[in-house]
Amino acid sequence: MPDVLIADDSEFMRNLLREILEEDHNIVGEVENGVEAVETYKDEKPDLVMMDIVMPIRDGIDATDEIKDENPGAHVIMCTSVGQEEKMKEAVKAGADGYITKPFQKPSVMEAIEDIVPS
Amino acid sequence: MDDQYLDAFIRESEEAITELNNSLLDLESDPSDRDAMDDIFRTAHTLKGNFGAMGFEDASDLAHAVEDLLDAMRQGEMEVTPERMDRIFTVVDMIEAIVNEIDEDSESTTDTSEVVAGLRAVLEGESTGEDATEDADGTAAGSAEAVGVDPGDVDAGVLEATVSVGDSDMPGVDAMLAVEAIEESFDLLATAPDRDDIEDGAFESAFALGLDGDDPDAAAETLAEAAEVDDVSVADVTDTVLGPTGPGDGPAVSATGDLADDDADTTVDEIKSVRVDVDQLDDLHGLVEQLVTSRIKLRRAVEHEDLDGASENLNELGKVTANLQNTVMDMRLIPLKKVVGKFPRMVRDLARELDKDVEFTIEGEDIELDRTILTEISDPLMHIIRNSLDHGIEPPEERERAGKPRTGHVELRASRERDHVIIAVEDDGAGLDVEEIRRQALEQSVRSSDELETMDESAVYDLVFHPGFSTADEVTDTSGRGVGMDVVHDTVTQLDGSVNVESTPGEGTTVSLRLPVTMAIVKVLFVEVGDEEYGIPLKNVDEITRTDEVKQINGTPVIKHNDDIYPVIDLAETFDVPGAGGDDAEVVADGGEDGGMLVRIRESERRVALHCDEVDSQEEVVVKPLEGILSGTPGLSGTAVLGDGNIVHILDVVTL
Repeated sequence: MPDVLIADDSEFMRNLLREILEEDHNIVGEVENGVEAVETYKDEKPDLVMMDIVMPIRDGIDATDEIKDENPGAHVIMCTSVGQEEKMKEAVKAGADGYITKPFQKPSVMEAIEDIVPS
Repeated sequence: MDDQYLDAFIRESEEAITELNNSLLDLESDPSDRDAMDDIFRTAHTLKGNFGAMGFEDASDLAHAVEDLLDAMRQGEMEVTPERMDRIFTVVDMIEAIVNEIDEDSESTTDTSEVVAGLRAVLEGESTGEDATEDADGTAAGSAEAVGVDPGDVDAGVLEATVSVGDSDMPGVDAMLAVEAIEESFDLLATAPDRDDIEDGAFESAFALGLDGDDPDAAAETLAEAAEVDDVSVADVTDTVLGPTGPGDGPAVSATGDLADDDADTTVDEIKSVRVDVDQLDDLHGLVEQLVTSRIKLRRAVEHEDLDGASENLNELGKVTANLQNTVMDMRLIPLKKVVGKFPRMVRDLARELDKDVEFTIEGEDIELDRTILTEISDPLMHIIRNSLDHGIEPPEERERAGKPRTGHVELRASRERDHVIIAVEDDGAGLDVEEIRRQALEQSVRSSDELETMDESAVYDLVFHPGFSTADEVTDTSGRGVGMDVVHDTVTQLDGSVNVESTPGEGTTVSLRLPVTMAIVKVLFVEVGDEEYGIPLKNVDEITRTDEVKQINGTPVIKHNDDIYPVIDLAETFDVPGAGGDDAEVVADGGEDGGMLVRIRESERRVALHCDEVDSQEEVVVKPLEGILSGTPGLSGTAVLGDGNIVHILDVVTL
């Protein structure tokens, strides 16, 4: 089972993602900003990070950039919503490997993960 | 699959493709031509429907995609430019290739998905109103060449990837993910539409990438692994972009591929089917009925030993067979259109390749010719037109300097003259250079300088039909003049026709073919030479005389007629016939009693007299051109099968 880190400032979203993922994934941590995300990543070295784009203190794009600097082989999937296309493009430039669009549905999330981290 | 349906399908598709090409050409020359646009739509629609009905889905998709692209043009979303037309023509060529494939194997293995995706990518790229793909035009839809690869940038090779991201909320992001992923392992040479447009999602479902690499599988795998990528195809197009020389050499190639390919594409196949008027079929049926009745009557007369009745029936039978012959000959007639219909497209491609502006018109395309003749003259006509474009029509700047319109004009004109059809190809180009021909003829020892001095211009022009003669300083791929023109001459002569060149320096050249309408029954005069029998076409014969008048001039036997001297050709000697009457040359010279006969040929054909042992009957025969290794044998034009089954050679008095 792959290790997953969930980074989202909304508790509702974190819970939703956990529900979707916990059956097939080992959730190594749930954090609510970019700084925590980078720290936890360095500690846990998870196979995958589910990263919200807009977060307080340090946003997901910045965090992704640092994680990718730390480990170019890291896998980061951005959690976006419709209308965030420009932000998402920045994230891709920062090294994001994929994205899911809110509201999350289990099949599309699983599909996005499958593309990045084949089971 | 039912062959009958398949045949009809193939025939209709071929016609539709020719029609499509020509309507597209009309549209290209006048983008506001609504009729042409309507024709194109109707034809593309028919093709799409037919392919679909026959279960050729790939081809149907292709026709559909091109229909959509044309629709964008019709809606005014896209301008009609030669580059865009090139793209459409390339697709039409692919459709044609598929039809040929189906014709040969009853199935098609051509994968069109890539081209369809490329076409759609272009369509989407262009319909945004951006001219992002301006440099993406030029050639095959969605090809890396099309995305504007600079050959100088290429290291390992050129891969062309067509990437589709499917339905998406963020197609631009999806595309970016794919592009970023592939960039980790391959250098990106070019994209279509351009990269900003791709990242803006300014394509519908697919975009094209030109990659520096030589492993299409690896590229496909990398792209397929990228998030959100729906479908990927990658092809190695190094040769197409760089030419067969490989990477690094850097010369950019012209957009339309090499000429050898064009040759293959435009070669007209043998015409395999003929459409027959129902009235003609009824006539045929009626004649066959009469034939059967006559046979019954004849047999009855013979059984009753009624000679008068039998002879009367034979006459009747003769009339019926003559009618039958005429009807069948008529049925073999096919409009010239069937062959020349493909020419406008060929001229267009060639003109673009040669960077010349050429307007091509056809007149008299409804004139009918025998199926065999039409098939045979297709290649010669193509040669002549190629020559006009390559050597006749000058480059636009040169024309301008000469005070001519920039656009050259080539016209193919057919007209009927009793039993003959005249097909003339006229250009308003530079004309033939008489002095250059003389110089070349001398250099290649085609004629001596004395001979050349006395030749008038028209005779000099005819030298271009001499085998191996070439006026082009260098023989180009398109047409080393001499290469084709002797073939033109031989083919037309074999068909019992003639060819003629007229030219005015600075004003143009006209090559005219004079051809019989049908592979007509030829009246021949049979002559005996030793144990052999030969046929001489009666229309070539002026007079039959005894050998009394033969004189010797410089050791050569000749006869005089109207103060003109006719050298005598001894057929026994020419064809090395055993058992011919005596020691031929001497017999002729002696003009003795048993010296045989002379057949004097018409002056218009050739000033010569043929010596044979005996002159026999005249008969109507169907002459078949020589085939295989025999074709081109000097002095022989073909063979005829006689009533008793014997085969007789028919002489060609000109080459004898």
